[in-house]
Amino acid sequence: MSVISYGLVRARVRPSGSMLARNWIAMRRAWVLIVSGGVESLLFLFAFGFGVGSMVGDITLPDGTAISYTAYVAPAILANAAMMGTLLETSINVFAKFKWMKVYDGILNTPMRPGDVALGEVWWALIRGGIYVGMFVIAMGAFGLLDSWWSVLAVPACVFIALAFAGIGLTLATFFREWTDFDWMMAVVFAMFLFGGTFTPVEAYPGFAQPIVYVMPLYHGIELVRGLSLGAFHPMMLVNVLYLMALAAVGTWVAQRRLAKALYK
Amino acid sequence: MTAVAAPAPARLGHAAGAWRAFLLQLALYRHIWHGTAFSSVILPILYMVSIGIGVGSYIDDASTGGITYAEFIAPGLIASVAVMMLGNDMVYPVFGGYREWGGSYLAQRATPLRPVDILNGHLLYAVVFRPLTACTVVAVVLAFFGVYTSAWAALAVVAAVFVSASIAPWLFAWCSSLKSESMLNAVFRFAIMPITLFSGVFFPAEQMPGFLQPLVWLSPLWHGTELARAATADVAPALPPIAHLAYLVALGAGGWLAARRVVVRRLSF
Amino acid sequence: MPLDNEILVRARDLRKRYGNHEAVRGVDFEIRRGEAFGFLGANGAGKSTTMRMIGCVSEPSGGHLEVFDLDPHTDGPAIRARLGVVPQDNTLDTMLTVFENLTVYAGYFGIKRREAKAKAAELLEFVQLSARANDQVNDLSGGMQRRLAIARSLINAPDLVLLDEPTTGLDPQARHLVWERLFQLKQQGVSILLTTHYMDEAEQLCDRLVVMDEGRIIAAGSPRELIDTYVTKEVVELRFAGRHTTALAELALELDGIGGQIEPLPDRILVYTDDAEDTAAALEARDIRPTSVLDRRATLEDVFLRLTGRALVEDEA
Repeated sequence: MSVISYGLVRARVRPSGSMLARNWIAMRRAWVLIVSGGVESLLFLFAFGFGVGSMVGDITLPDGTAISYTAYVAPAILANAAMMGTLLETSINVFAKFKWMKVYDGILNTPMRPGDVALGEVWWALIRGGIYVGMFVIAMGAFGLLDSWWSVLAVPACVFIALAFAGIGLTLATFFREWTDFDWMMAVVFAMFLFGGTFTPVEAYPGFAQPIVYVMPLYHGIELVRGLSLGAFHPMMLVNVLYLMALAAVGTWVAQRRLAKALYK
Repeated sequence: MTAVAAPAPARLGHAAGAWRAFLLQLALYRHIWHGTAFSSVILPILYMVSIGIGVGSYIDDASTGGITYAEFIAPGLIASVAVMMLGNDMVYPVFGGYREWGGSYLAQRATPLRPVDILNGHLLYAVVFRPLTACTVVAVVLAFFGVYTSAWAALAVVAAVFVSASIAPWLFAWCSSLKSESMLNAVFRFAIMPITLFSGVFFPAEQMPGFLQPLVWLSPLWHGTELARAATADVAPALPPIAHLAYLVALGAGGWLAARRVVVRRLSF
Repeated sequence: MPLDNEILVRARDLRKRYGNHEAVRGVDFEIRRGEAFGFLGANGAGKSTTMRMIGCVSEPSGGHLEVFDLDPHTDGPAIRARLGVVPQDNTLDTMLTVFENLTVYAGYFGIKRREAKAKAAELLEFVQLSARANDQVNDLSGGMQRRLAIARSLINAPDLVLLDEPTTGLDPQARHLVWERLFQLKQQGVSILLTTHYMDEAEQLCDRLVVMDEGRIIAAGSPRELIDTYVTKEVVELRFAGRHTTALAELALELDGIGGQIEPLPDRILVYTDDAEDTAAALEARDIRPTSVLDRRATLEDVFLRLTGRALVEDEA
């Protein structure tokens, strides 16, 4: 039984590996570009974690514990790095491959299905997001922000964020018509970064704003990563994970449907 | 080529040429203004709410020299709008100006405009028109946060124009000489972002590690923020205002010479 | 050659509708193993749409289609695994080198890396691009890109190669080089399906072809059969210095009875005939002295224009 299902999974997943291989070969010459994207998050860490953080000193959390502001902000910026790595890859790069370079038109003449393409793009986005997360965690360690072994759990937590935004990005890529649409996406992303609980506890927000924050995918990612890296577990984390996974599944499914509709004319 | 048949046209003056090229840029702007409204106007206000008010409530006035944190970052936000807008106006449009898919320079070159007119026209747009409009809007909105000490705050917009003028020609020169667009993102990551984040806008520059201090002094935005803060919060700048201004003007003039060299080379056929 | 009569593609009353517009309006055809089959027609005749349906990247709106005895609706991947496709716009991957375009594409078919590399090198040799293996695709000329697309379509040793207007937009040298390669494929027994609006191309490469017009098949057969059925063996072209359009139309009336059909064009008169010498003699007998007389074999172009009329078919794109 398990042998059969293993074989089935392998058969379903293997074609998406070819898509992944294509991206790896295409982008390995541009690795500087990819890696340098991780630098942005480090700049935010230095500016807000350390620069502004040294002015704030300690921050008192809603549950009464006080931690350094730097340790408070760093996990949120880590979550942001996981988001940006996957979102940029799946939205802008997939849009370019889909509408400009017509890469998928060629691929769909092979046994590959739209679902394989979408899944392959998700894997690749996870790798890129993983590079950003890895760079950031190393920097956190180097600056003494990883003070317990729980912090290591922040990395798998980032996988949920990355999956969710891979799904969202893929779907957006199929909806966008021109490059200016990305300005609007970046606007929403930045608003989430500023108001998703990155810099101050959501409990400190005015009451009317709180429900809006709870809808933001990034908020759930930040809660998850921050909770784990501070070693503070909470049943709500299950909700965070479920919300992110739902976004990942729906996003990827919608994207492959839309790809199929656009390419199987 | 055509000079044989056509009557010699009256020589186009430099001011007239720049003005004409500026009007062309303005015509393009009418198609894109809504896309740039976010980064130029809304983003700085979101920063003010999230960082200035939100994080500011955890910051003691003593660490910002006796003014509130919102008062501390307001002038820097106005000046940094000028820098962020250059990311819109002086990167892709310049690179694309020489290419078929953008082509605005190639199209302008097909008119009597000289390369230097095209440069000046684009600078007039990006350095004067854009900051004077966007930074003014931001400055007015920030007034509702009660972060100014006097009407002299209006001078912060002038400081922003000088910051823009000191950086824009360098971006023009750099983006004009690039062969591949893959390096364009590097402009954001390694120039615009670090300048915005580490020029004393969000935290006093003295908090930077000592070995990084010289880099802060090089940053045009730091000079502009010092000037703008003097205007909005009546805080004495690090150097005499004339010294800050002189640095920005000298940087801009050097950049203009470099940009002129590149644009003449790229657009002379 | 295996099973000469094995049918690879079978279409019955095949239809494709886009909104209110019916691009393919019920076509029937069969493509057999080992043959080179052509769709001939003007832009918008429905050739490419039909080909996309065979390639399982376009769902038929009606009728019946079978490829390799499989149903494209349910077995798309299995069918595509056995097809080679050269789309009109190549769809090469511009982020990859020439060689990588082949090896990566092989990956989509699940071909192992080592095997893919060997096969890619062999195919580059075949399309004479070995020297450009490590170049970027965008640095290649149009003809080279098309040859690369042909090489790419062969990477999975397909049972049937689909070529959508293989030489459109190429200069004469590039065109002949592509024809040469396709002819070689044909010699090797590869089954080919191509669309074209070039008559000479169809004549050179196709064993059998159908002529499409406005979504329908209006004629089918081998090039020779079509010529025999729809036009005469030979065509005599008569030119009269200083006379054109109306003058020629009037003159054409005088030619009635000479040869077969008479067709006045703006610059010349065509006389369809089975015997050019008879026609020349008849002209002389009536004392009609053209400035120039050219007799030639009838071509598919004559068939095509005869069938679809000379009025310009508006491009629907």
